[in-house]
Amino acid sequence: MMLFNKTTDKIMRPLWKWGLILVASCVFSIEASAADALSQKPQASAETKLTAIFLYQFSKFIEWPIDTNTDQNESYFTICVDDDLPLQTILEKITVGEMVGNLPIAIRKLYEIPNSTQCQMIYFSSASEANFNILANIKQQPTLTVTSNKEMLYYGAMIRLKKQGKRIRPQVNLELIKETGISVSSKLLRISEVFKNEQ
Amino acid sequence: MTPIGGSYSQWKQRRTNKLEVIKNDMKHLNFDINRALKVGLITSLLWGASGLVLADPSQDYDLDTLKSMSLEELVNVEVSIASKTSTKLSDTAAAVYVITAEEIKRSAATSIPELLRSVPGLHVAKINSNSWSIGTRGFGGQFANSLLVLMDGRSLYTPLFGGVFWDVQDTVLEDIERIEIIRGPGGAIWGSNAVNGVINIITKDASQTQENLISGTAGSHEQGSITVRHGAALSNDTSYRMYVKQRRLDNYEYQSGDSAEDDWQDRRAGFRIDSTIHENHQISFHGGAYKGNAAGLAYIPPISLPLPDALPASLNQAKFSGENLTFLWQNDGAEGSSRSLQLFYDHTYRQELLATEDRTTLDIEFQQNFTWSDQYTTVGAGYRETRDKLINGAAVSFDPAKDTNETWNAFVQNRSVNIIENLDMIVGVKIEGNDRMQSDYELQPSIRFNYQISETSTVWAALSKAIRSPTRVEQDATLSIFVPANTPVIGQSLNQPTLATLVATGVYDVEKLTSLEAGFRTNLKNNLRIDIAAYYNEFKGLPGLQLISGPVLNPGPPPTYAVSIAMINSTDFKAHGTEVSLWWQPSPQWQGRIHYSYANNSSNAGFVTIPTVEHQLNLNLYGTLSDDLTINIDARHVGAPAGLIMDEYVEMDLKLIWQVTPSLDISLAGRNLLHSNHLEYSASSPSTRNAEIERDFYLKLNWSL
Repeated sequence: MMLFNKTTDKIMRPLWKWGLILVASCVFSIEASAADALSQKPQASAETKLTAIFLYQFSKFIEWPIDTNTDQNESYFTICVDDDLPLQTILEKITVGEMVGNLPIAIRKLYEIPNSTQCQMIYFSSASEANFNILANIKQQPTLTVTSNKEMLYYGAMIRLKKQGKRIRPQVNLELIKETGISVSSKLLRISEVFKNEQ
Repeated sequence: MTPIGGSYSQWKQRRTNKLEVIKNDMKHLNFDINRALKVGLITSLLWGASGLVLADPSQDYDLDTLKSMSLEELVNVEVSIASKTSTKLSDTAAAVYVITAEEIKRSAATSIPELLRSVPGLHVAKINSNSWSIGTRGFGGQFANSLLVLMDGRSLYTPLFGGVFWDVQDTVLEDIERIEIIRGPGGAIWGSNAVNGVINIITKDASQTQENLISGTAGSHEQGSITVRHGAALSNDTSYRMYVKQRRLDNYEYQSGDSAEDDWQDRRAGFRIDSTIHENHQISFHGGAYKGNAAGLAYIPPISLPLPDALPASLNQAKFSGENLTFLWQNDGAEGSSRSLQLFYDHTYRQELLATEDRTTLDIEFQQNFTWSDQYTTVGAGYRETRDKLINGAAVSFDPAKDTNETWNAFVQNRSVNIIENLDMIVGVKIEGNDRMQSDYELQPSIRFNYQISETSTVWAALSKAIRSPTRVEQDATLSIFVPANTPVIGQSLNQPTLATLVATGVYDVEKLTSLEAGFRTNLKNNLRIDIAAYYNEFKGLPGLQLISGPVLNPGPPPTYAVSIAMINSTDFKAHGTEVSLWWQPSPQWQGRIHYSYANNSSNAGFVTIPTVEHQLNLNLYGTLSDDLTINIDARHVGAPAGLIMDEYVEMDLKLIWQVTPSLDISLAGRNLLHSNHLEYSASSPSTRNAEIERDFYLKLNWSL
């Protein structure tokens, strides 16, 4: 009887502890796949909101060369967004009545703009053929290109809003930005990660 | 006395079964079945949860709030439902306060306890150079318990008595991202001991500390503290940091002018690695080790008669050390679902005149968040095993000397969004079991409501139950207490000094709290914010004393009495209070903060006095004097604690920071500027005497490279 109990204890103790670990890891893997299968695109997630706020903040902590926008008829500070409608809606909401310098902010759909150099800032939500082409066309131009996509950053977007754990942190390709005459404030650089494209 | 003796032997037997397995076959078998049931319960809970459909994410950020945030704050905003360690669920329907990294930088505080001084509803008092009393909502004392304190998910309170040795709790202050303080019961989701509040210290992700830092502090009380931290990225997705830190602090003096001999020092080192795998799996591995010593004069009563007229002072040379490791795995599934698994190991050693504690704790916790239509659900479970070895010191002895204690818990919490328009309901329940409880488990339910009156105003209310598990001290310790003549012990006042022996009976059980809370938050215009919280608490089974034998007169000389007493759960009482916070930013350069805390424990009729500070007022003013010069002023008025013989006081701290270059700042701080010295508390232990807190100045240099 004594032996039996000792044995039970030896078995049960680790069982109880490691059972928990086992169950936990099972749930981890099952949940991960179930989640992928069943997910739906949300209307406006916290991530979208935060992305919009970052874009708005960039307009305050980044300086464009003075001659930008001079040859445009419209005197707006234009932020162009590819087909991310929730983001565009939020951007419109937060930039109502806001100015950059003495220019009011306008939010435009990227694909509806005839010439993407009209945009002072472009946000690419994904890496698509169309976006790669636009990016290639405006290289060296004083248009700030922002993305949340890793490929787009490697392909030449200037800033990536990198999801790091639960937070978002800008990754800045400083060399690329400098070539275009745009300057980034030290306050923004302090919270950012500097990205170097080593190719 | 019979009821105590009777239930004691039964209880003791139940516990002995776990220690000496062989003695009682049937009961032992029973215990294993219980354990299997627990595993089954948790397993089914988790499996059940995993079958549910997952939908979109949760957090509703107010765009105006986000828009008004600084860049530093933006990079710290979390974009998915966080785990329990940074849950946002409680943010809305509970009294929450957050100390940000920015505030830590501005503050003249050089330690974690000092940082907590300005929190509404929290009372922090320095007992001497190395001992603090930190309590929430009127529960203070050096051995204040019923407060859950965590650092990066690792529990910091000792199961020895349920309180925290604050002198050993430290890290690089520059690496702290924020400290979240929840007043009131957090029992439904947080770990055990969260009766009166939760203090959650969260350090930065290693990706946010990717530079080297050298920091040094020297001054009249700060005798030289130095920190060296190295941080870097190993790859795009993996970062690490490591640090070493040393502190040396000078002694204070007693009112008499004699040195309190309470100088102390410690050294610590630590590391943290954070890595993101496949975008949505994050791994964090961190750990640390420390070693130090803190002194103080102790007045230890003898274990047997006769008593001396006055207790002789002996130097209490405390030695402490500890090592810990934490591993955390978090996974963000598709929109809104997330899960985390955390394991920690913690070893602490502390040697004092009263007793020596050597403790090893292992803890595992799992948590799962998921959403379905407008429901946001969190389920989780945890298990903790703590083993200790106690060496009896002067005036205290423990039986048994070695003990292993197991705690397990499982919880579920659900938030229903918009049950009617703008009204959220949060319902949660936690089931917790512990070897020291007399019942097999305890339930801690809570229900919270959050109503959004307008874009800028919210009102919330909560009804919750929380428990505090009994600890080693209450169940296993026999200790001697020196009672001066004409001081009441259990309703009697004896005309001679008395040696009271508190006998371990093992019957002490859980303390219970039922709490009703309500609060209101509003943003008046953009630059004025108000937060009000009020509570009504009903405590059941707080400590009280029962006479076992005596008083017996020992003729001496000198004549003394001896009594035997036991600790029982005999004190029930009601408490209420309010906390009001006001933030004001009159101009971009200046901002101010006022906190007023009111706590009333007056219906506490038990023998064990809870030192309660009824009124406390904190003021903070922070301003930018020029591009590179800022000033921070903290002032406080602390009322006289009920039950202790000491006066109210007013004090002020000031710090000037000169940002010499973006990577170098020099600051000059003066603390307790209004008096050359003042008393903040009376000690609750014979091993600590209350020293006077001195005015002090220091110079600090922070250099990142």
